[in-house]
Amino acid sequence: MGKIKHYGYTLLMVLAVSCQSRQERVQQVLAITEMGELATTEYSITKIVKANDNQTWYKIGDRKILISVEATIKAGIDLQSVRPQDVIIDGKKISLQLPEPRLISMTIPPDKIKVAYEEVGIFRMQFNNAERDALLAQGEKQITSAIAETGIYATTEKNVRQFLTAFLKKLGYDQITISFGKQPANPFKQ
Amino acid sequence: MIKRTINTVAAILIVLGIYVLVVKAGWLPSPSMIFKPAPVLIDQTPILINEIRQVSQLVSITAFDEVVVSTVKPAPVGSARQLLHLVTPTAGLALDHLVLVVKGTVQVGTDLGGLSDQQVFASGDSVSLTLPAAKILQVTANPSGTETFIEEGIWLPAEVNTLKLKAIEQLKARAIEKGLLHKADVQSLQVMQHFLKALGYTRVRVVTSQ
Repeated sequence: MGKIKHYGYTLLMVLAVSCQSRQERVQQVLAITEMGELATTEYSITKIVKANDNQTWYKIGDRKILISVEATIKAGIDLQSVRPQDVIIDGKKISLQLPEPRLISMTIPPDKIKVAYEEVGIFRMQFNNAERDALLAQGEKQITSAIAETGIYATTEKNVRQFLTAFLKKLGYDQITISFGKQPANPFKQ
Repeated sequence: MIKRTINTVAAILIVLGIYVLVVKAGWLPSPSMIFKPAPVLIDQTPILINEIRQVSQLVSITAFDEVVVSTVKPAPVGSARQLLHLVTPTAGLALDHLVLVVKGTVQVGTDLGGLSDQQVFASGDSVSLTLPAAKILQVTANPSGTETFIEEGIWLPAEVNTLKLKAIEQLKARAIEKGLLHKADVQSLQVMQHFLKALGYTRVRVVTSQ
C-alpha cells in the first residue's frame, strides 16, 4: 500500500510539472536610437559555413555540415556629425570634410540560409536549430571581421561623393570637393 | 573483515582527496570537464562578393526589438512523443514545439534616391527641400540574436526559416505600431535641416511629401 502511495505521489508530481503552462515571454521594445546615417553602398556576399563535429572523445562517429549564407552589408557615413567648420564655401565652390565611412548594417535574411550538405554518423543526432544558429553566429563574426577587406569603405566613399556631388549641384554649386576623415587644407586658398 | 572495509574506504577517500587537490591545481580536468562536449568551431572560409549596389538612404531611426514566435507540428509516427500520446491522450503531447526568441533591429528612414530637381530649391541663403515619406529600410534578425527557447522533435532548416520570417514580419509590424515611421520622418527632417545649416544656409525649409 505504502509503495503504491509513493508511486502515486511521484506520478502526480511529474504530471504537475509537465502540465504547467509554458511561461510566456514578455515582448517589449528594447531601445530606439535616433540617428542620421547616409547609407550609400550595399554589398551582397556569400559565405560557406563549414563545420566538423568530431572533437568530443566519448561521442562515436562525427557530424559534418556545410551551410551557404547570403548576407547584405550596408555602409555609409554619419551625416549628423557634419559641422559648419567642416564646410568651406567660396562663391560657387564648396569643400566638404566628411566622417570616415562605417558599417551601418549586416543582415543575414533567414531565407538566404541553406544547408548545402549534412553528414551524420549513425550514432549521432542531426544538428538541431540551436546548434545550426551557433555555427551561423560564428559565421557572422567572421563576416564582420572581414568586412574591411571587401573594399566596401572605398566604394562607400566613391558613392557618397557621387550622391553629394549631385545633391550640391542641385543647390547651385559647380566646383565640389569632398574629403573623408582628416581635416583637409582649404582647397580654394591661393 | 571490518578492518579490510575500513582500509578500502580510507584508500578510496585518499585517492579522491588527491584527485580533488590535483583538479584544484589545474593539473587534471574535473569530471564535468571530461564529459563536456568539445565546442564545434567553423573553418575559416572566404567571402564572395556577389553584387554591389548603390543606394541613397537616410537611416534616421534604429529600433532594437525582441519578439517570440512559436510553431507546432504533429510528432512523427512512431516517435516517443506519439507513443506517449497513445497512452495518455493529452492534446499537447503528440505535438513537436519550436519556440524562438528573436532579437532584431528595424532601420527606418528616408530613401533619397528619387530626389528630383523639383524637390530641391536654393536661392541665396535660402533652401527648400521636400523629402519622401519615411519607410522601413531594413529588418535584421541574425542567427546571433536568435535564441532557441524550446525545440522538441526534429525541425528542418526550411521550417525554422519560415518561423524566422514570421518573426521579421512581427518586428516590422511592431515598428509601425510604435509610430516609428512618423518618428523617422521627424528625425530625417532634423538631420537634413542640420546638414543644410552646416552648408551655410540661414533660411532652411525641409518638409515631407505626404
